[in-house]
Amino acid sequence: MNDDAILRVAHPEDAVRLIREARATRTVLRPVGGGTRHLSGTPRGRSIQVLASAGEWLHHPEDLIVTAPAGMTVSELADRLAIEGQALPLDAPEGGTIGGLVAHGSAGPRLHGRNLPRAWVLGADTVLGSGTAQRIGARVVKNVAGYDAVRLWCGSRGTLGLLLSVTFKVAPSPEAWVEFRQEGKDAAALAEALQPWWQAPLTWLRITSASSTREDALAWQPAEGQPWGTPLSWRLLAGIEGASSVVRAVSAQWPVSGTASETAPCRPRNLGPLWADPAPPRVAWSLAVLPSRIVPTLQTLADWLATKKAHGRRWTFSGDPGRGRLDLALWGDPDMPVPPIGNWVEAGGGLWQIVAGPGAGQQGPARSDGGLGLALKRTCDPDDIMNPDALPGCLA
Amino acid sequence: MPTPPSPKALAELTRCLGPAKVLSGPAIARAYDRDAYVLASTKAHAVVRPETTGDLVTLCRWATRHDVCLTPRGAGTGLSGGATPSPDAVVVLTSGMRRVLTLSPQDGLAVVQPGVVNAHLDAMVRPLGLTFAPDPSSQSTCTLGGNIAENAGGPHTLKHGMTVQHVLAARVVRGDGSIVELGHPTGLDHGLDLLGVFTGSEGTLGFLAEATVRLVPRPQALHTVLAAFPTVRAAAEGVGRILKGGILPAALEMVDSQVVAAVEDAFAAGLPREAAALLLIELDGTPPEVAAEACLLEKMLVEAGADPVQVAQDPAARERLWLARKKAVAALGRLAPAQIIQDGVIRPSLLPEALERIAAIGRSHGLAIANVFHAGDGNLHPVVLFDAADPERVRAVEQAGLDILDMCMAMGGTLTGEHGIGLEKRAALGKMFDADALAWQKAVRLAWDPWGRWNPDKALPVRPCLEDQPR
Repeated sequence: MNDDAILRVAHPEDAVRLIREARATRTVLRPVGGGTRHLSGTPRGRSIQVLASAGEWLHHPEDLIVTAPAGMTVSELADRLAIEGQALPLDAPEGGTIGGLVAHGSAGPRLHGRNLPRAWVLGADTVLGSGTAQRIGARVVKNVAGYDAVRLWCGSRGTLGLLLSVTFKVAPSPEAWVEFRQEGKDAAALAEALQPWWQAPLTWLRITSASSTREDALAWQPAEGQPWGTPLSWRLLAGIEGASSVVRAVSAQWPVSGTASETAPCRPRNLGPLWADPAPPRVAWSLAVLPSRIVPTLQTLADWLATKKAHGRRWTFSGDPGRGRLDLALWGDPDMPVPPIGNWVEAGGGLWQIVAGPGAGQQGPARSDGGLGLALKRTCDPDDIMNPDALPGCLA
Repeated sequence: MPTPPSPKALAELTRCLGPAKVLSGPAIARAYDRDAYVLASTKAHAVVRPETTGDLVTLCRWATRHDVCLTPRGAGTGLSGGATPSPDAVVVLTSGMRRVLTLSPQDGLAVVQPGVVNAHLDAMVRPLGLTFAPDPSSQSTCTLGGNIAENAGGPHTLKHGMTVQHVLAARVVRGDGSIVELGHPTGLDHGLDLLGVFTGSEGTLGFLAEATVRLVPRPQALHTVLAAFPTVRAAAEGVGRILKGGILPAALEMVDSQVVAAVEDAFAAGLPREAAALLLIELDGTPPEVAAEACLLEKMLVEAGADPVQVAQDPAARERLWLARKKAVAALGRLAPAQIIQDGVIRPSLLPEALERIAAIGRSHGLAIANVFHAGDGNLHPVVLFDAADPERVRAVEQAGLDILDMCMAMGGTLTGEHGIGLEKRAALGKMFDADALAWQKAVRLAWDPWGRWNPDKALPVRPCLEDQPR
């Protein structure tokens, strides 16, 4: 095996052969998709990429089911589905692949109303880390036969093997969308602004640190952070998409202050990591907290930052308050103190992970799965050759 | 290999848990000898009714000491024999654990014990404007532990998803008495999706001690429509028209003329007897959302040739329209002493052909088969009517069931959409999984329960099945 070049899988049999060769030589393999996702820690192993030619395309529009190559980009899938008036309501960065979307298992702005990939994946053609080809799940919308391998693969980050094709349930393509925007400068106003939206049939509900320069409605991250010491300035984006008549009718029901707009169906942009623009942060976190803890967590951080009296520093955030997701990034000098966000989050029953800066890859709180995670990985990958570092702390 | 518990061992268990929690005797053995799958029964040696996680741990440690296997049981409404006792097992009930431990409307979640009845939780959160979305047909009696064990579906799965999409976290007692926490109340976890694997595992991986479930805003408006069609094919084609038409109904159900006649005979619900098939369609959401979708739906139904189309104007009318679906099994029960409900899944566009082939299978075995099912999901529920006292008829029913599953697999479908493998479909596993896939499934089971403690003969047997051995 050549140690330098990226391994490419053009046909299913390539995947079987390359994995078996890697097993024989105990070579660690690191699946890559479009290279659009930030993965914390130091990746190791040979990169291996599944090309679109290795997977299958099969679309049954009348059944709302599509099977697509894992190596196809999500945007190409969207283009193909749109021909039949359908869509997969999951967001991925530009250039992101279907395999990467499933392997990462996370969602963009539509998480709020459309859930995670695990809710849309019905089946897949895979090659396990053992070198065995295996079709998992089914190509119908309901299936409870056997243990749910589909759910296991969603979010498995390349630790089980390679995805060749993925079968999704799809939805009618939204004809229109409307987005309400509000801005404010303190936590109390944010809490108040969120109230009307808890019961609304939203497709997305985002909060970001306010930016006066970026008007991108579905920006995963704001372009600019907030100057040090300013109040908690926020922007709330509440969006609904669907059939034109439905969007018009629903939008008329929510006459809150803000800005409404209606155009052609949109695709989220700027889905890269929070800190992609303008510069790497000093430290960044990804948090999952109970929805009721979103605003208190932001307030606590704002209060903490305000007491440090440092200069030239800023912070930014982005998240889904309904789903309790919050990404935070903090810029500053190398000697700046790091707020104890992990402690705050754990006290509120949440999860945290440092995704950039000192301690990147650390996560908490420490939890034990009784060794089940590693045991299940080894049912697929008995020699631990598939991306063994990708789920730190969980597969040890 | 696990063995039946000795009287001495049962006495020890009674001392550990207390006499109120360990039940045995002929009446108990008979009462718990099967679930709603009528073709298999085994007398239970004993029935245990734990009330706490501590009781479960004590039970598992006792089972480990005496090498006894355990069969979990919720309300016994399962349709595939998953809660039928294994021949040497002790039955473990969820009914002693039926408390809602935490209710957090602001976070949209509840922490429940496994014996909480699905409909009871839904009724509890209704005043808060919330709902627990999974609504299997046995909702009024089935438990959340059973729902999670089977990854239960129901009529509204089409829009709102299976149980797995509504479970955030679980506390599970494994076969050795150890406790493992799966998932997280935030809906995110840092490792592999073990909760997803546990959900739908048919009681074979461990016993659910607590679950954190998602509560979602209750739909503010419902629009329920009953559309009659002159032919089964027209109704089946109407399903495809709706699915491709740009809206996603909350429910899209179908019943055939046998069901209509049975429901009318039993309940006089005012259903159109002349119809060859009915579609029951329900839209939900906010009032403007539902109103807009209702206009689109009406147009689709007219184009599909539906006539008449009844629209529920109030809750009472909605209940009446739902009678055709919810009372179907009860009404069919008047036609034969026993019934088996099959559960294969196909793509909805294949419904016209599938329904014709199911009718042909019924004719070839001399069996009456009615259809009442989740058409939008392609989840067939052929109801086979027969007399279980006639061994020849029972054999015909079993073969008809296998023929229907063969048909589903030949159409690219699956064996089961919501009922599970249980005892019923073990013989058909080879139709779904090749040898490698079966080996992987068994490896998963052994990774969780190397002791073979939980429900050992169900779904994917890890030992030679006692009831399958020559007697």
